[in-house]
Order: sequence, then structure tokens, then C-alpha cells
Amino acid sequence: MIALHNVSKSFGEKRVLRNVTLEVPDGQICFFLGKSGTGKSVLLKHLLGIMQPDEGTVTVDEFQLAKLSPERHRELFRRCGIVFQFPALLDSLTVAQNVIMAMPGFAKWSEQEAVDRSLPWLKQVGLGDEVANFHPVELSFGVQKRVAIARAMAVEPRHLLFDEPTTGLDPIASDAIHALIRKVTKEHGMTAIVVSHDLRRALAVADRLVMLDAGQIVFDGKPSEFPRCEHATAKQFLAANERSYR
Amino acid sequence: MSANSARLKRDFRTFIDSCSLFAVESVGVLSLAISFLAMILVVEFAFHMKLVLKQQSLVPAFATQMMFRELGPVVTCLLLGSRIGASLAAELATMKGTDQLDALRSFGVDPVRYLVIPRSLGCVFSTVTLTWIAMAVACFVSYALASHAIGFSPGEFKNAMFAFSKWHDFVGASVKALVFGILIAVLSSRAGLQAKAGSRGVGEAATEAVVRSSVAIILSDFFLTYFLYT
Amino acid sequence: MMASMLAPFEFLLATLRSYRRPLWPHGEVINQMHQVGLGSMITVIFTGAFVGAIMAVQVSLELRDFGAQGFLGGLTTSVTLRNVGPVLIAFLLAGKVGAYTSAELGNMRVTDQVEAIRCLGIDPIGFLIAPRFLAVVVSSFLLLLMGLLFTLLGGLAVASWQLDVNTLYFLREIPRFVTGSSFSMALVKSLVFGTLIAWISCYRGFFTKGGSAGVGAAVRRTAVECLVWILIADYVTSFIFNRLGEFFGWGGIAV
Repeated sequence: MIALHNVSKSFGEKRVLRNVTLEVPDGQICFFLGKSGTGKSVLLKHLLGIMQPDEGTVTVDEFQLAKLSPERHRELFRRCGIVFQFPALLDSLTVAQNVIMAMPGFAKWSEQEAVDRSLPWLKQVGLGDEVANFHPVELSFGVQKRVAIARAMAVEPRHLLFDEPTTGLDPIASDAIHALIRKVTKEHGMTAIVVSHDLRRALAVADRLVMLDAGQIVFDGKPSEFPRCEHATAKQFLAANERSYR
Repeated sequence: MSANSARLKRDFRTFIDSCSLFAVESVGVLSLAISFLAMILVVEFAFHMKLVLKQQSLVPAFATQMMFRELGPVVTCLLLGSRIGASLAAELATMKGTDQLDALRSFGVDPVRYLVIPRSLGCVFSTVTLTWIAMAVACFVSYALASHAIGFSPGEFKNAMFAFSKWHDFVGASVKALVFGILIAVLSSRAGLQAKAGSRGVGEAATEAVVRSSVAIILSDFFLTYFLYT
Repeated sequence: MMASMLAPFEFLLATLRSYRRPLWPHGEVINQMHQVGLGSMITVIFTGAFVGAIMAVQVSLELRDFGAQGFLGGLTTSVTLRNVGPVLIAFLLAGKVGAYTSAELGNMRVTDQVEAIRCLGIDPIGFLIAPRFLAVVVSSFLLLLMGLLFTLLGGLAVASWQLDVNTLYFLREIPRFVTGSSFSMALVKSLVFGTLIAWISCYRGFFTKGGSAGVGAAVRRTAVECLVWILIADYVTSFIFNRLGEFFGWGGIAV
């Protein structure tokens, strides 16, 4: 279970998170929505312990994120994986090597072994051995995103965080990625926390929707309840979702 | 007429800005590097004089002459090439990557004339003046510290220092600095303008600028030495 | 302030500790040496040859006034091997190898690749820095030695073609002038300079801040800092060797 209690964070004068309290049970797909700059990505960084809150506590399973030694922190990273907005694959390694680089014993495997071990994970994200020997820079953005997901999965984490998984992708690829998120997390019983602007797909895929505005949670509930939310920003999101400019 | 003079004024401003940026910011680092270089020369000449002549009375003269003829301009310009060259290339590469160069062209402004020429002049001005400063620092440091490293008193050192150096050596050093400055400016600007996109392209351009400038300095130094001094 | 002065040393310590359990991709060290070393060979050869040539010309000018042309081979080689050669070639390597490494690491830092590695539970220093550090130290050492060899050839070439000095005559004086301590000094300096280049370039690259402009700044700082520290290390090494030489009575030739 991932839990935040009264988490607040400011950068100088700017208060980015205010008294955020949230508990996400295992196996749930939870989407964080909000306008740009409302602290969604900052929240994700707190869940990994790469940022510390000014007030409040963050807990992931049995890990207390405030007082982690470097070894414990590394164990946390294995428990809770992240897929960044920009795939951040290593340019100098092949796709196969990128996928399995976090697995113990990686240093000893040859390139062929790397390909063999990466295939099951590549299959999970809908890719095959045709991409295994390419370097990331030779592949499209959408394919790179899938590889990044495969890489995060290869450490077999219990929870997966996604920072704007489909920003910059065309609608077909976006659908595919969202379907993938739902499939892999349900299949492996992983918790998924997805930061996104994409309301339509959030409504389609999420078990739970959390909306942040000005650093605070203004909606927390089932997607089906969201259209009835009275908050101004929620209404703007819904309207923008429906609007036509003709 | 007024458009031309406005442009001249603007170019001059950029020239002054880049001069001060390049030159003033580098004086400290340069002085540190040259101080050590001067001491190295003194110590090494002392070693070799002892080896060959069994006495050290000519060390100040030889060391100072070598500083003027060779190591002063070369090391100064290698250092400046790293600083100025990398900055120039990185700046142009970043501008290229963010489409600022294309934007300038769309306003009918030639990026080379507007950006590169004033900065290149600033670069050449810096290399020449900093070489003079470097040689002054070297003379002072070797004079002041020679007593530590080898058994000379400062007074003895000062008297012996300029025994060999002639005006020709000073002019030669200035010519070298001028040529090196031009090479740094041209090669670094080219590296920046040819850069590929993104942070990778900027890093590569900066590296290319440093490497090309350094190699060009060493290669041209040989020919300059040969023609200036033989 | 104290913390930031210690940071480079902590970095070095962390790097050295990570060699106990290698974490990097199979064959990465060789890969890096290939990238960094092979590409630099031509540059080092040319630089070495020209530096040797320049020193031959300068020394011959000095000797001419004393009618001591006979010492050209020995003196040029000694001066070049002890100081000018290692320093100038190291400057070039700082540019080619050092700047390349810090640019690569800087680019990885600003595109979040370093953070991605960390978030997978991998130690970025063991994974990224350790193989590069080793590759740069070894490549620089070998390239410096190769460059020094070419300074000899360059000096020889200029002496026989332009300065009318007999080749054999040039070579004959070398063993008389180049003492064992000069040789060892060249070796030690090559190792020290290589280590400095590796340390500075990895450190500056790894801690790059601020996007593309940051990468450019990291390259510039690497090049400049390598230059300055190489000079400082050169002086300190020379000083130590000379003092030791006096103490143990090394060197000295019969002229």
C-alpha cells in the first residue's frame, strides 16, 4: 500500500503540495489528473523518495521514506518502479540491454544472453525480437515508451508509477499504451499510479481518479462519479474534453 | 547611413562584451596556470643546465626566452582555446538547436556577420592581450619564486632574465597569439554552426571546438616557430 | 563550502570502491577505450610529432649560439620527455578524451538517463562512471606513451631534414642525456595526467546541471580544469623527482 499523510511541499514562495493525504491499496489503478504545474510529477517523486516533503510522511509498504539508508532506498526502487515522461533509455545500450539492465548479474551477460532474457518482457509490451538489437535513438517515440515500460517491469516491482505516459504520442499509440498499462498491472497484480492530462483515457482505464488543483486534492473517487463533481477545475476539464471549435 | 552606423555600434557593443567576457574572466585561471608554467621552466632549465654546463647562471635567461618564444603564447592560447572556443561553439550550437539562427535569417540578418564576427574579434583581442599579461606574470613569478626552487636571489634573477630576449621575441609571441586567436575563433565558430540538435549536439560542438583549436595551435606553432626564429 | 570542496574526493572514493563489485555492462570498458582511444590515436601521433619538431627547432636555436649542436638529440629528447611532451599531449587528450567523456556523461545527466538508472535501483557510479574512469586512465596512459614516442620521431625528422643534423648523431646522444629518472618521470606523469583527466571529466560530466547549455559549460570546465591541474601536477612531480634525484644522486652525465 502506498500512503501519503499531510504531505506539503514548497519551492521557495510557491506552495506545490498542500496537506495531501491519500492511500492507494495494492493492485489499484489510480490516475492523478490536473492542470500543468499542479504538482503531479512532484508527487510521484515523493513516492520514490527522490524528493522529501516539507511536512508530512510518505510510506510505501513497510518503507518509511523519510529515513532510508542507501541500501534500503535501492530496495525501495525495486519495489516501486517508474516510467518517465521522456523514456530516458540509455543511448549507449541496445534495447535488449536497456530492458534487462537492472537485473542482478547483468554485468556478466553477453549481448546474446541479453537479447534472450529481454524477450519475455518485450513480448509483454507488444514488441518482439525485431527491436532487441536496435539502439533507442533508431526507434520511434512510441516504441521507446514501450521499452521503458518493459524495463520498469523487468525488476518485477509491486507498484509502477507513470509520469505522463502518453504525452507526445498519437491517439492510436496513446490508446495502446493505456490498454497496456491496464493489462500488465492487472495481470501481475501491480498497483499503478498514473499522472496524466488525458481525461478521456483516464475515465476509460482507471479504477480511481484523483484530481489535484493548486496543490490540493479536489476530487478522489470512481471515474464514473467524476462528471458529477462540482469543482470549477473539474468542470473545465470535462468541458474541454467535450468541446468542438467549429 | 544611419542604419550602417547603428549596426556598427551594435557590433562594437557585442565585441566589447565578448572581449570583457573572455578576457577578464580568464585572467585568474590563466595567471595560476602561467605561474606554474614559469616555475616548471625554471626548474627544468636548472636541471638541464646542471647536466650540461654544470652551472646555473644562464637559467633565468633561457627560461625567460623560452617563455616568450614558445610556451607563453602556446599554453595561454591552448587554455583560452578551451575556454573561449568551447563557449563560442556551445553558444552557437544552442542557438542553432533552438532555431534562433533560422529566426535571424528570416529577419534578413546574416548570423555569421551578426554573431560570429564581433565575437571572433573579441577572441583575437583576448588572446593577444592575455598573452602579454601571461608573459608579464611569468616574468614576475619566476623572478619572485626562483629563490625557492633554485638558489638564485631575486635580484640576481632579475638582472639575468632578459639577457637573451630581444624585441623580436616579444613581437614573435604577439604574432603567434594573433594567429592562434584567429584559428580558435574560426574553428570554434564553425564547430558551433555545424552542430547537431539537442544537448548531445552542443556537447559535441564544444568538444570539437577545443580539439580542433588545440591541434591547429600546435601545428601552426611549428611553422610559425620555424619562420619567425630560424 | 567545506562540503563542496570534499565532493570531488568523495566522488573519487565512491568510484574506486565500486571496482570491488563490477556493475557495468559486459565489455563496456573495452567499448569505451575503443571510442575514446582509437579516435584519438591520429591526433596524438600528429601532436607528438609536431611537438617534438618544435622542441628540436627551439633547442637547436639555443645551442647554435654556443656552438653545441652536438647535444641536440640528447637535450631535445630530455626536455621533451620530461615536461613539454607529457604536458602538451595531455592537454590534447584533455580536449579529445576528457571533453568527450564529460559531454557524454553530461548529456546523460540532462536527459534524465542518470536518474532513470538510479530509479531502477542501480548505482549510477558503478554503472556509468567506473567503466569510463578506467577506460580513460588506461587509454590516456597508453596514448601518452605513444605520443612521446612520436615526439622523438618528430624531433629526429626535423633535425635531419631541416637542421642538417646527422640522424645517428642525434640518436647517439640520447642515452647520455636521458637519465633513468627522466624516463620514470615521463611514465609517472603519463599515469598521473591520465588519472587527472579521468577524474575531472567524469566528475564534471556527472554533475552537469541545466540542459544543453549546461553540457557546454561542463565541457568547458573540464578542458580548463584539466589544463590547470596538469600544469600543477607537472610542477609537483618534477619538483619531487628533482629533489629525490639530488638526494639519491641520480642523473649527472659525463659531458
